Amino acid sequence: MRGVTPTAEHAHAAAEADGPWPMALALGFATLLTGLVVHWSITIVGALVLGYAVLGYLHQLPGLHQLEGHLLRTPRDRHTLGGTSVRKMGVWMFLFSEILFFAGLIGGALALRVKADGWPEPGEVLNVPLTAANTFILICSSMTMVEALRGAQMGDVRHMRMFLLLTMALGIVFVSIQAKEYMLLFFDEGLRPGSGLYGSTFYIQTGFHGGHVTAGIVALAYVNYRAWKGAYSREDHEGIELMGLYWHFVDVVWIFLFTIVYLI
Amino acid sequence: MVMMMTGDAAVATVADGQRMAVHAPGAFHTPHWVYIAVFAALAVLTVLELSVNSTVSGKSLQVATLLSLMMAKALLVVLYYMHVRYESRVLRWAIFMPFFAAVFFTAVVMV
Repeated sequence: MRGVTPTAEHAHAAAEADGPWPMALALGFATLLTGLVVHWSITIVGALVLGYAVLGYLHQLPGLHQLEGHLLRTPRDRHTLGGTSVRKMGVWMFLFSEILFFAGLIGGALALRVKADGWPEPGEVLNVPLTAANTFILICSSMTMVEALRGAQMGDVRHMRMFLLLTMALGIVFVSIQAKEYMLLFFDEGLRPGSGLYGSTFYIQTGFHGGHVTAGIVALAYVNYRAWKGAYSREDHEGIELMGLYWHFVDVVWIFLFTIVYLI
Repeated sequence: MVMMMTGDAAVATVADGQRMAVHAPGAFHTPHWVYIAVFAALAVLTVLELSVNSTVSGKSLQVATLLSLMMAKALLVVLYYMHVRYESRVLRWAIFMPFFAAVFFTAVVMV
């Protein structure tokens, strides 16, 4: 078999590094989000589990001075699954679930739209030129992201750092323009999430995308920090590639949203 | 080992099982011109998208054109920026299956 299965010792070592806390964090977060749509009491349980997990995570560090070493450590395992590194496979599995999540949002909105009585024409309510500029900014940020990866692959640290920083800056510009667009729509146009199907489908689709870009900016801040601390090299830059996968995915979602929400 | 793969021929010479070499850090470089060409194509396709509603007549033709341009843009990013073109066949299928499933179920609820 080509893909090396992690041995029990490896799995044990990996589990020892972080303990049960990553799993507890995930469970807490999932419970909290489930509670938001089901019942407030479940939200409280989720928040408690989440808080306990964060405390447990911090508690296992002997001191905050070790936090930096913890953040900068490079995973030493090089396991593969079907010829693909398990870390990359993990990111792809996350992205599979994201594809279905956004498909649910976009598909649901489309289904509501085709059965709606009336729907505004493209450009009638939404500001297409402003969003077109924003689309171009996101495309540029995908280009800068691959340039950062290329810099890492060439061993050109300066190139890598500069483009990583530029990617994050472009992401911030995108979200800022989206915030401006929301303000114009909300206050000037009177388009509210509660003002009918058009408003609610618009805000839920673009809002979740904006949330994903924001999460990407936070992740990019971490990747930038690691890059400036010298954590990536020509030999080891998988973290940048994985960051890129998420960032490009968010770009692809916007390609879909821009066409379906703004142009059709 | 640094491999430069520039097209189908180069990829075809690598057996599926050996594609893992692509994933080893530092093992694979997409040629720089590919990144630039994809960026230029994305920009041009976006401009074309913006002009569809004023140049193409008929709502259904407009929608069909816009969806085609959208798919072309998405495929370019997925295949080249996310390097899916160079991934193993299994992963490529695993990536496209949820998408096909999503399109199928969306079509079902729209009818």
